[in-house]
Amino acid sequence: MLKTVRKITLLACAFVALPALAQEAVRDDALKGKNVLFVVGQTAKGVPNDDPLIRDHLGTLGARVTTASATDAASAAAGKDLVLISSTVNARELGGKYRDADVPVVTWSAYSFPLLGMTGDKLHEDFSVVREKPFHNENHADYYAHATSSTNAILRAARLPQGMFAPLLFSGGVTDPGWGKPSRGADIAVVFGGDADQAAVFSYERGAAMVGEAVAPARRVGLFLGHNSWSILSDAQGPAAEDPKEFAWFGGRRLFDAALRWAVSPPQARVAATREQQRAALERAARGKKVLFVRRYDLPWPENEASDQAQLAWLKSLGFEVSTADHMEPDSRARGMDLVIISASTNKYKLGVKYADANIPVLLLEAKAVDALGMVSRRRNTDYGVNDHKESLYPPENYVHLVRAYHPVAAGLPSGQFKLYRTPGVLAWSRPPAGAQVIATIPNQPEHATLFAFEKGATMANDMVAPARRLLFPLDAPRFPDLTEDGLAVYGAALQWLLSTPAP
Amino acid sequence: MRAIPLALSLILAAALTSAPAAAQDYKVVSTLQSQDAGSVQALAVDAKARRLYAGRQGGVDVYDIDSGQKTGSVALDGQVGGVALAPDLRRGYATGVDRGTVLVFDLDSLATVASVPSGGGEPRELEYDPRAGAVYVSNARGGQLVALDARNGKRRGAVSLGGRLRQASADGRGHVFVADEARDVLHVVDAASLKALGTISVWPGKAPTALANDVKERRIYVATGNGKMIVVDPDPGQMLGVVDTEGTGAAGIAIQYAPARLVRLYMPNADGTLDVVQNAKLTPSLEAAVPKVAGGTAVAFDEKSGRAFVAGPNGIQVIGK
Repeated sequence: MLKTVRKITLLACAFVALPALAQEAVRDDALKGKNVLFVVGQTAKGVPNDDPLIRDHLGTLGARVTTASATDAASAAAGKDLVLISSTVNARELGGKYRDADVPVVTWSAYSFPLLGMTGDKLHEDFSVVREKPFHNENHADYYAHATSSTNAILRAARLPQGMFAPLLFSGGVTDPGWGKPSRGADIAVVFGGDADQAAVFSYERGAAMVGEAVAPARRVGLFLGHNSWSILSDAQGPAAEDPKEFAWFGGRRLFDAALRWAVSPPQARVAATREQQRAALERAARGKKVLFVRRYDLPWPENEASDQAQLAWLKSLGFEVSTADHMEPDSRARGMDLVIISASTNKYKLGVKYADANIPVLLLEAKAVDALGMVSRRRNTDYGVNDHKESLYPPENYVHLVRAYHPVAAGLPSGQFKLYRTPGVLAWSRPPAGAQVIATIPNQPEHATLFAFEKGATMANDMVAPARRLLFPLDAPRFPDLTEDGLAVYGAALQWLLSTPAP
Repeated sequence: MRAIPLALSLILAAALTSAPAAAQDYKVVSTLQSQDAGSVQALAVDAKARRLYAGRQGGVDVYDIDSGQKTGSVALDGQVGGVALAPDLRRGYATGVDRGTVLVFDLDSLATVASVPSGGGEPRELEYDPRAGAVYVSNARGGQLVALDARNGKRRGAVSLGGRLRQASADGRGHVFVADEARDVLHVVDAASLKALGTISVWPGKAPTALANDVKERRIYVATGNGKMIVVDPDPGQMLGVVDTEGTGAAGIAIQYAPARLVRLYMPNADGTLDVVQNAKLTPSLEAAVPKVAGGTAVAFDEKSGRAFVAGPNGIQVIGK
């Protein structure tokens, strides 16, 4: 009987952990046997067209490819595992035909990005095609790119580390790459010019909020290719493949393959457990875990003190072994702990950069310290700030916009707005780098992330690598008692995610 | 009104001239007399000495390029599969396909210097590497690449690459690239240690047989058996361009420089077609396909006369415009 209970418990744990692991399941042979619809068009006379080559290449990966034109009905996607939309297609004719398709779509038709809900629709602001002649310098600059974070699923599948690399072979001749500026619901794998607003490779998980009210019905990937870019995608072979730096540098073709392989791989599933099941799983995760709660002792504000005490009581009720530390104590207090929580009752100027290099997960509630912990860059009111009733341009807020409903920290809530606090108040915002997993933004402030996380090994601000998982939960000093039931569930999910094992 | 037909005529004329050159642009200028016209499988030009060497059944014939007259020959038992020249050493080399030998001869006297084992089965193409002072022998059967001392033919070493080895090309920077007809790759070999360094796919080409290495521009042009010429950048080791040709079963590749840049490639094919690929601004495209004129078992190019020599069932034909 006891064995059966243990088995059920293990299965339950596996079930809860599954969404976090599913994203990693990108197999090398993921395209084998897959039915691919390749939507193509024509190029002008004398303009090279790599579509036939791409089609042949997909065949070598084991995919079964059918071609379609822009005028074919969207029903052509029925029964397919993947829809590819080439830059050669006439985006005006194609329109938003595959926008609602519940099969993965990968496109390098930059003009189709907005029509598919993947970016806004302003040319050269929300997306662009960097044509050789009018954008000569930028075009040449785009033969270099930056991989945002080694934890990105597409980059992992491509075996591309974080940093600069050459997606296109300069000696291959001229091509016209494109880029897009996706929403914060996207994962940005590669950017041009080090600018996250010029994403060369970006993706949306199924259920991710895209631009406006659009939610990805299946995986979506935007790529940077022009009509003839594919044949000059870089690809290390021979001796270059044996040199780790050259292998990483010439990774364009691996990146293309990885994007397609990721697109057809199983998507992350939204948490399906009930609140009671979530609470039970959290209690199991908390059992025996040591938490260091960093706060300011002797607070002069009773409501802040009450909030800290309420949190401490709640954490203990879950089964955590909780210790507290004053913000002036050394961060060696974290030794032997499983998790550090930094309360917003701390003072950023007293806290300093303590816990920034802690190799255990850190839950940061003091949003002003995001730069000190390396999670966001350094400009206050530009890289990070607050919605409040004082000097902010942005008013107090109690709702947030969930952009990654599939993320374990979303606690199973649907995409869109939900009430985090009962009453409007201080809500912090940040513009974290592309290595972040933005879970929620602030309504009507789509570029302002308010709840976000970094996987262990993710590239944070200024190329700092997360020594362990990091998460910013926007819990201002007095607000713990003001959390809604949903808000508390998300807080609990955040704790559980921080304590779960990162994917290898 | 009369201007319209005139304009149309001009457009038509322009279209005709801008299209891949008509076959008649390239023609057989002359044919060299050969003892065994159908058996020539290897050609090599010594432009400075104005000599053409033609490997055939039973030996190597030597021609004066300008007069077209045969001026000598070197005897070799069996079919010659490859010829290479080392003008700086005054040495010539020829493989004996059937006997598994390599003949080293003196370019001036045409006297035999040495006859050595090729180190494998069915030796075909040869590559002289002045930097290493070596001659590489591609043994098609068994996939052995063997290095011989270029002066005396003594064996220096070998590397077993497998597959079916065809033409090799040394880049003068320490690497030797070898076409593998069976595995659809180029092997990369370290010239000093004779160690295999990896392979480069020639996809979408199949059955690569010959290659031309433009060392200065860092490009390798690969003639393949399925009607495609593949352009490879040897630095990352990747395909960066494909030219669809019209012939199938490429048998060789010869290059034309004018004066410092590779401007044209000639590729004879087993089906008798000669493909001519122009390389304007490093962008190769099919300039002409000469069907059933030149035949195709081997090719060489003479920079001075600007003419290609193509061996086939009709003998060694001189191709020009």
